[in-house]
Amino acid sequence: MKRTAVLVGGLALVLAGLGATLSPAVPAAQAAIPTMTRSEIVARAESALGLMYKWGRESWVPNLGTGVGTDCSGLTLKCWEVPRTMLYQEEDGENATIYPRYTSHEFYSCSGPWSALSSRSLLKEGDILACSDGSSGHVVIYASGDAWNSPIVYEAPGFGQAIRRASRYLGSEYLPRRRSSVLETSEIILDNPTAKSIGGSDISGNWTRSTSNPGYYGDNYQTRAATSATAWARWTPRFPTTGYYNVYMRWTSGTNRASGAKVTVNSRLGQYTRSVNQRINGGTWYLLGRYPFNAGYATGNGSITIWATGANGYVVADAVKFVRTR
Amino acid sequence: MRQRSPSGSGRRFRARGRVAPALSLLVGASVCALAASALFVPGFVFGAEAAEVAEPVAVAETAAAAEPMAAAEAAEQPATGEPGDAVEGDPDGPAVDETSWPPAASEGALLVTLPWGSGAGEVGLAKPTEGLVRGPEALAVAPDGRIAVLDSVNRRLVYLDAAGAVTGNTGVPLAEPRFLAVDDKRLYVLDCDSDRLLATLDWDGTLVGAMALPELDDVVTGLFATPRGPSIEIAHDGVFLLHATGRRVATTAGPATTGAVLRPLGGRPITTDLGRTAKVSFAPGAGVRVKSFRLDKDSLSASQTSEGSPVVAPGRAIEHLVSVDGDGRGGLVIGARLTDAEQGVRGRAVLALTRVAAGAATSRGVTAPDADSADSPTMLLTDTSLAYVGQPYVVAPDGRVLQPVAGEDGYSIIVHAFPEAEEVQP
Repeated sequence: MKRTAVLVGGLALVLAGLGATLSPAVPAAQAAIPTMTRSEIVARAESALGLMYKWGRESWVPNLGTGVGTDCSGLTLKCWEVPRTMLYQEEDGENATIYPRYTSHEFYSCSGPWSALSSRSLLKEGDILACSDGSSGHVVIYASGDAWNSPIVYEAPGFGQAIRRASRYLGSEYLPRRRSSVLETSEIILDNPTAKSIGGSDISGNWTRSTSNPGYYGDNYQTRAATSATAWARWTPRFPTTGYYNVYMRWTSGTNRASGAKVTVNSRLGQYTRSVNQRINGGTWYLLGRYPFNAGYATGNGSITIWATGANGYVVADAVKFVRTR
Repeated sequence: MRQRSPSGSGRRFRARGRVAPALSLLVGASVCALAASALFVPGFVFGAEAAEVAEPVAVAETAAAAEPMAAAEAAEQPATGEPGDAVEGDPDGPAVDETSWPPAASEGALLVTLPWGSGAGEVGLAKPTEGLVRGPEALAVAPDGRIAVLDSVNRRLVYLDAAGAVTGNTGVPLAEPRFLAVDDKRLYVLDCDSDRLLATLDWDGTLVGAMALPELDDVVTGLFATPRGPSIEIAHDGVFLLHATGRRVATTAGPATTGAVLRPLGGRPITTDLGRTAKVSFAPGAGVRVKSFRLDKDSLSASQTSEGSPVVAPGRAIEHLVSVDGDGRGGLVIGARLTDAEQGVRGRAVLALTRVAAGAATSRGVTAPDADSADSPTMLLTDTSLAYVGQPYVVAPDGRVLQPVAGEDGYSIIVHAFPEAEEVQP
């Protein structure tokens, strides 16, 4: 993302000479960042694969399903779901011109809601590796280590190149960073579906976030009143291996909920339809069933969708969990 | 980065980083963290590098280069002092045992520097403000010594003779060529990201054909030339021969293309005749594991001949393996990136290449890595490239190690030899 113009000049040199960071300080009130799981970060990166690199602020289209590709830092911002209110100078009154606040340099210098790791050996999926020499920089999202523990990353390399998952030797200039407020779990858990800013959408219809009823996973849940219009929310994970998985769904229960909300499971053997009674069993992981999925990320044969269409009450989309079985 | 005079091949070479002056600001912060490892020898590493890389540069340049790194270092570790300062818990610091580890990174000999550009004898450098800074993304050496450089930015191959002289170049009809493998007859270039094609060329630049990559389970990590054709490695695990189906595949551009299927090999080819392969794994805490296979070149059936755990980078912790290659004498060269290098300071030795000698012949007459060899020669390389250049080193069929380095002046190839090889050279 392009650096704020006002900072690219003599001021930058002065700050550099003083050993100060180039980025504006983030107000304490904005330091909070919503929780998310590592599986969610990876799922968002997967949804971007194939889109072409696009430099600069024009490519940053938060909360719209019509986005285009992005650059390397924009990819990280989107996969980390950095809220819009953290992104733009204008919204804290510092600058009337909309420019993204964060570049790869800000990831590198930890001037945002993320922090340095003392060792690359500590990297987990969804962490990043960033480098910056002050005039250019790059940031990649760590996906996993391979059979040599060599890093596999998600990245937007440059102009004319598509966002990809790739093996990449990363020199000593790449330093490890970790997002704040990551829900640490070894399980594959996807929290609230959100409208992806790139590569399509996880959600259709007007769902709203809520914390009214207890028992939700993460910071909140999403809800939608029954409707005859199209309204669904979907979770698509990246399955690490091909095989059978127990699929669990979570919601907050209430008397105004749907007693038979439709759920569809897209598996590698086809689509299965279930229904869940959300008037009961709130705040627990409800077992939907055991289903086969292929390794990788594919909405068509590896996703879970809940529908508000045709329901008889409010439908809650909170979180879904996948547990590998034998 | 600055280099000594590129004129004349065979001169001693040490890459010098632009950020080198920043080391004096950074070592204090770094020493504390690095010394936390029982395996770290701070006096040796920082003393040697600080002395080696110190060179005068303009003040402004120093400040600009030092600032980001200094900020990051400060965020990670509190500054503790100057190089050689006492380390917490051990006033004198850990003892330096220089006999247990090579005293310095290999300097190597500069073979050639190709200037940045798109003209004859030049190679491209892409430097986006937000993105991957990259130069040529692959380098390969044929058994007869000829060298090919994959000039990815200009989408072409640059040919060099064994002495490093440029002999020509050829355009490559691929959008994002990334991997390169050669033998004496063929050059294979792979675009696994965009076109997903493998192009085959002759050394005279003639495009021989192309194959479309089949669907792969994971990312490509290697490309090899074998007598049976090109093979690819997936996630540093499975290695597969790309076998042409003969069925034409429609592509939007480029050469006539056939489909391909994957035929498994036992592991990485480590001899040019495809007679032996090796499958190597590494996990922190579990160490390096090597399985050797004998391969029937006709049926491609692999039979395991040995399994062992060679000592790689003795006494040092490994972050991940970098490459595994045949050394031209029946053994392996196993390269690792060291965890000691985690503080982001350029110019330090961060790559350790251990040559694992061939062990005793098995009953089948196939040699295997000697799992118990405690004196396997190890060579250190620095990690100084200013741009991504693919794998940080390449092992030639004769066992020499070629290191590509992107510097301010261009793309340099540095040739290294293991210590015992240097002793026998005239």
